[in-house]
Amino acid sequence: MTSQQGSLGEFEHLVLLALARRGDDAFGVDICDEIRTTAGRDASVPAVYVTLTRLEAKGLVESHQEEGETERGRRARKRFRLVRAGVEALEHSRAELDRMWSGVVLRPQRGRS
Amino acid sequence: MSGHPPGGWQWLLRRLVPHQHRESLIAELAAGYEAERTRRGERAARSWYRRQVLAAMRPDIAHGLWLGGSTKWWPGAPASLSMDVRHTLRRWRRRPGFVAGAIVVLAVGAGGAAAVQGIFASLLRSPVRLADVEQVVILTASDSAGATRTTFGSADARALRTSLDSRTAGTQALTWATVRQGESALWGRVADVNAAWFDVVRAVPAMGRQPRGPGEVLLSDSHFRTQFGGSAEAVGQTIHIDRAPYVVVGVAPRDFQPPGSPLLWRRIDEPAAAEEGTEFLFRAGDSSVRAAVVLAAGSALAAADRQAGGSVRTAALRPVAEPTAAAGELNSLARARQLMTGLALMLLLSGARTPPI
Repeated sequence: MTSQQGSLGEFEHLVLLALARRGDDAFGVDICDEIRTTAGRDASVPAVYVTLTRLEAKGLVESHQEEGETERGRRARKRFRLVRAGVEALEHSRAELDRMWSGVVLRPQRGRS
Repeated sequence: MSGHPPGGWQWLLRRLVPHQHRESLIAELAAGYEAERTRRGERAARSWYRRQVLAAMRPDIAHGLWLGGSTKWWPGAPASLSMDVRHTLRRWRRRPGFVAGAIVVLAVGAGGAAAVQGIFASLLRSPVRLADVEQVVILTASDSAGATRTTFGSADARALRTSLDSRTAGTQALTWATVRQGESALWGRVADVNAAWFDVVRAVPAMGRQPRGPGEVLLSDSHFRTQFGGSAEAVGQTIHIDRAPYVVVGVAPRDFQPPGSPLLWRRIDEPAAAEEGTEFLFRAGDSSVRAAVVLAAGSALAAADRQAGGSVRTAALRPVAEPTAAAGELNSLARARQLMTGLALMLLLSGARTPPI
């Protein structure tokens, strides 16, 4: 991951992880479901879609448009896939968090409620 | 029951989402709607769909959709506008009294400013004081597309110079120049006039005489007072216009306010005799000038127009429909000054009314 791309945002992190957990191409709705069932967080499809678009612009995921099934009235959807740069970004982010967590003892600090 | 997403919400979504994401997001939500309907029923699916569309209206998401991952072409205006509107509405809801007060203050302030400007305008704005204001015409040129302009390039100017003679028109062109007098320098409008100008506008200098040739200038009353302190010793002094020396030979009368409010007037070089005695104001080499032409008393506009149109294809004299309005337009600088004075007074008055903290 280049320095220009910076660290992953929290929601970007979640979306990338959801995509990684699917292990295959996924639609926006699938990502939402994954986040809801695994993280217990209610994410909207537009929010996930915007995040995926941003990640695609950063080169961390790629997408391809499916053919619409016009006879059944279905529109063309976009499938998203994690690419190598996305995997590296996740690894980098995980390593960063691991380093931050190491040696941390959680306790309330003095003077704070 | 219908298996399709609610039409109204879908219609709204279609208008909220930029075209590059529209179809795929609508398809995504349609698939989600279908899954929800299978899982939890029609009613829950409709509710889910509504929440998704509302989520797409959230400023951060709308911003992302419009940016589309790129920051190159869209400044995110719809999102920030919606954010501003929401913020305003929240403020209104929380502090209705303050909002009502602010609206009243703004209304009174705007009304007061308009009233003060009206008073200033009626007291200070004066029409162009020329002998025959109806004889003032603006020289305009029309391009091939029919657009009208009031500035001319040097090519047009050269052509026009040969087409109007001084028996028909007194002419004035305004250019911007640096006027130096001693240590002080002023950037302002300088009027280049032809020999007929002062006779046509019937302006007799309040002090000294009219410029009779190149290298001589007549000061405006305001320039005379601000830069020379109103001293009679101004006449005879040398000033520099864009580094070229000129001798002050007179001062214009106080109520002489021709179009453009120049700092001073200078005679342009007399044209060569080969140009059949024509004395138009334009000088070759000027990149752009704006002209006001005053027809001599008794000169018909049509005759002058024929003169200009006969030799200049792109230019024609056009009468000013409303002489008074034209005077106002040409005195835009003075009007802006009046407006600023009015606003400054308003600020002073509003400050005076502010109670001590």
